[in-house]
Amino acid sequence: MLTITFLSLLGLIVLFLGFSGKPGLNLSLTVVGLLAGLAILFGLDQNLLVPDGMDTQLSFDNISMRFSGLMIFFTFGIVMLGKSYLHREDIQSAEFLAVLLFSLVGALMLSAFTHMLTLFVGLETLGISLYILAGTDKKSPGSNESALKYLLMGAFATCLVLFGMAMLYGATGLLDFAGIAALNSSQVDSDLFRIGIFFLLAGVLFKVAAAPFHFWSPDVYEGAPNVVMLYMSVVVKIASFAALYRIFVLYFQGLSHFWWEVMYYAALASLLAGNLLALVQKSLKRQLAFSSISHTGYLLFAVLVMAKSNQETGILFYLFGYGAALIAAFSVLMSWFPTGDNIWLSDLKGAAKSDPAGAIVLTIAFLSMAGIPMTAGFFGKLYMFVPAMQDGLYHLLLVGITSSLIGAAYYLRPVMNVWFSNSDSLAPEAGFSAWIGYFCAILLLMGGLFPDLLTGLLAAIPS
Amino acid sequence: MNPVILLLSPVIPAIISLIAGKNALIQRILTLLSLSFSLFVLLGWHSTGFEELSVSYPWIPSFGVSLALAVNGLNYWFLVLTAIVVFAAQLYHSTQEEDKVRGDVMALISLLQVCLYGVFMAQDLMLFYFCYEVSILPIYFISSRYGSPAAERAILKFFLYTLAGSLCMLLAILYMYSQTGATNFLFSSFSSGYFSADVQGWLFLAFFVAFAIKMPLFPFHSWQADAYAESPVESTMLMSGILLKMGIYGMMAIVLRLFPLGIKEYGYIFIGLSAFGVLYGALIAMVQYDIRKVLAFSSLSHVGLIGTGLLTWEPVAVEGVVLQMFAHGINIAGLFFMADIISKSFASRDLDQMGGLTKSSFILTVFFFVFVLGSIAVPLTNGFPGEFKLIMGIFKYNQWLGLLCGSTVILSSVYMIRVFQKAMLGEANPIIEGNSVALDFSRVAGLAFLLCFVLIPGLFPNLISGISDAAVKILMLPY
Repeated sequence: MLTITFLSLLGLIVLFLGFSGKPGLNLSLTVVGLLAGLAILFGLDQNLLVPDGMDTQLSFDNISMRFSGLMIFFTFGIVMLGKSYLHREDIQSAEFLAVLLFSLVGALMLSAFTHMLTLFVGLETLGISLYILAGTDKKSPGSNESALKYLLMGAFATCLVLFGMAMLYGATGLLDFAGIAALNSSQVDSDLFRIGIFFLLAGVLFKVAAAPFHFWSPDVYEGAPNVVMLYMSVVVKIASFAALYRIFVLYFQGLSHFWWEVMYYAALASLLAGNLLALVQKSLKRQLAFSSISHTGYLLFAVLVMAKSNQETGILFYLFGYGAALIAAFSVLMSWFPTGDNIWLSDLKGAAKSDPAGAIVLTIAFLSMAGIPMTAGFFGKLYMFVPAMQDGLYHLLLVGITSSLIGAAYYLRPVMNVWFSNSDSLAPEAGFSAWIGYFCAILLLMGGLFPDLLTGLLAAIPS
Repeated sequence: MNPVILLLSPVIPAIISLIAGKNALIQRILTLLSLSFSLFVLLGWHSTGFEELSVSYPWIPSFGVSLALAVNGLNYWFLVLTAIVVFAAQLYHSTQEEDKVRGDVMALISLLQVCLYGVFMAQDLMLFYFCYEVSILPIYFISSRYGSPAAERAILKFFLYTLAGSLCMLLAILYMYSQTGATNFLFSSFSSGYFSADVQGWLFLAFFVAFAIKMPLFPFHSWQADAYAESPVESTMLMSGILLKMGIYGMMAIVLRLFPLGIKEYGYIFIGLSAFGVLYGALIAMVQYDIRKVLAFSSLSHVGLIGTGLLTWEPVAVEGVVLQMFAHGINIAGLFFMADIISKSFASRDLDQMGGLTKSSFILTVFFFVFVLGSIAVPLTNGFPGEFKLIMGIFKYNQWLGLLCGSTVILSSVYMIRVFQKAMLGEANPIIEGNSVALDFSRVAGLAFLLCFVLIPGLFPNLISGISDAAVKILMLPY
């Protein structure tokens, strides 16, 4: 609660500092604030300053701490990357940063709710901020389209969630998840309850862009400014999966016969649809958008596995690897293509000649997303494949492995273009953002060579 | 000496290579030093009386993966071959025309050496898998970056093929791990008796596909010819000389050791197929006009013989495998090296455009001829003892199969002599004048060094089999 309060206040301050007309000041304040937020999260007792009545609705347990830490850390990286974008004249940096902080507050709530009310507040705080963020590039038609599409689809998903909650309330008379989970089987065995869980799950699957609810995401991702796309595919993904994890693994694990199959087929569909569609894209942003659907598939895979064997390292490690890889890739792409327009695969040709270091970072990032050994992505996948094998989820495992093969096929295409074609067309602007790329690439290699360092770090997080 | 030192020793030359960049002299000295160090360590093992030398350190304790390495009779010659072929490839690269030498290529080859040492010394399945899969990356980058424009496609195909195989292997490893309830991945934790024949059959298939794609054996070979032909020569030398040996080693150290019942279950299918590959490779090699493709298909044929020998599960044949894989590694690396010199002097890889090279370079002719003899397996060259033992083993297993595989003796001389005739003998092609064959001192010395390994094992095959036979016997005990 302390971190949530702190970041909300920070957002307000940043918003009012906008009047001073110094974008640099806002940015440094946000960066320092995010670091302070991280320190507060791990340094101080989160149960301080919780107002009366809220203490039963938010719980800052182990899981919430880990997910929150990951989210603040990655937001920090993304804000640093967004520097050059924010310095453009037509962007109101104060608004942008404030809304970003508010959305982070929503994301943090999604990792800590215990009650339907806080879940809903979290979802909407995150969602509404994102509709605004997607449209920050006011003069670009793509950005406008993205914002509108996201708003309409997001509102629809919210309706599904709300409908599901209403049904659950109707069936049980309860709004807190622990209470529902504690009911015995005869109390929940009603059609109303079934419909409720189904719609709740469908709504959340909509939010995480799992197939078959994925159609909005490529358009939204493609149109949104690069920083926002990065934020959506990293932090928002972590938040959504924190929510999914809390609802379905932490609370509804005992009710898995109500939701397991739906999620199972959504995972299969996302893995296949995401990867196969990514294979035929010519635009890098669209390719990443479709690949993000396949990563959703892998994360659902991890949730399904965890629902059986309670190994949360898998999902956290995977999210860490995916987030670091995307930030590394974008740090390079944004320095090569500062205009933020669409990036075609063929635009990458010959980039290694003008910026070999960036090309190495990009290569490591894509190899990690493809799950090739020596990168964090490999162990991310391994940590979910092993329990899946132990639980006998062979079909899922086969699809997972096949789709990593398909994944390798399309992740290697940008890598090939970067290294192997000899046309000199790029003039990358080297800058501070390159260092974030190097840092993330080193994290990825560390995760791929000594994964125990990271799992040890995760295990050491106190509640 | 500690195997970890051997494993990590190429890292230092890799870093220096990267810094030295285009300085060919430093690169040459570096590769020579690296070779000397590896051979020094490996020959030092002789003094211990061939006792298995093993160490184990925790690597990922939470997951039960350890850095368990060993030098023993089974992997010893694979390690020696690694050092030699890597040296040959680096020598080739650093003796090119001055402006073609690249620090990153030298460094990548050194890193590949780390992976290869890792694969051959690993006593932990996960470590084995890790190194096995990472070893594709250096080749992938060298080939696609410096290969011909067609290489991009060929190498992507190679990458995806190998990855598909490796993923089958990963699945099998995870299955073994979860079924035995083991808490680690050590080879010694998985015994051949644990799994039923049915399960062993499946596990055999999964591992076999991975290794057969790497080698490649007959129905899994379609990536090979293009990848060998379009890659830069150094990576072709590595792929044919040493990378495919990972498949052979995996067959010996994992498949033969752990899934004997699986071989009984499905082995006969693949024996037939890879024996057919012996004939198929030889016949196609006979009609190729691209000198590199001739060599690629000859490799398919030779490796087919090795694969057949492994699956017959005859001790004689498996002893022959070690001899033959060593010989094949040396010969094919030498042949690709020479083939490049030859095709550079004609400015073409087409055999019909060649002829009469012997008139302009005597040393080249002699060297090339000895490698050709080794590849044909003429007595007194390294190819002979291995091929003899292999065919003997296959003959014991089944006479008709023995006859089919025995045809390689005749067919290989047909296609290799054809190459020699077309390139070396006959009317001199006027184009040679313009591209005089450059064999400088480093190249002559390096090729002469390789040549020693054609002749010495041919004269004294016991040097090799004396070390490996005991290990092979232990391997074949369950039989």
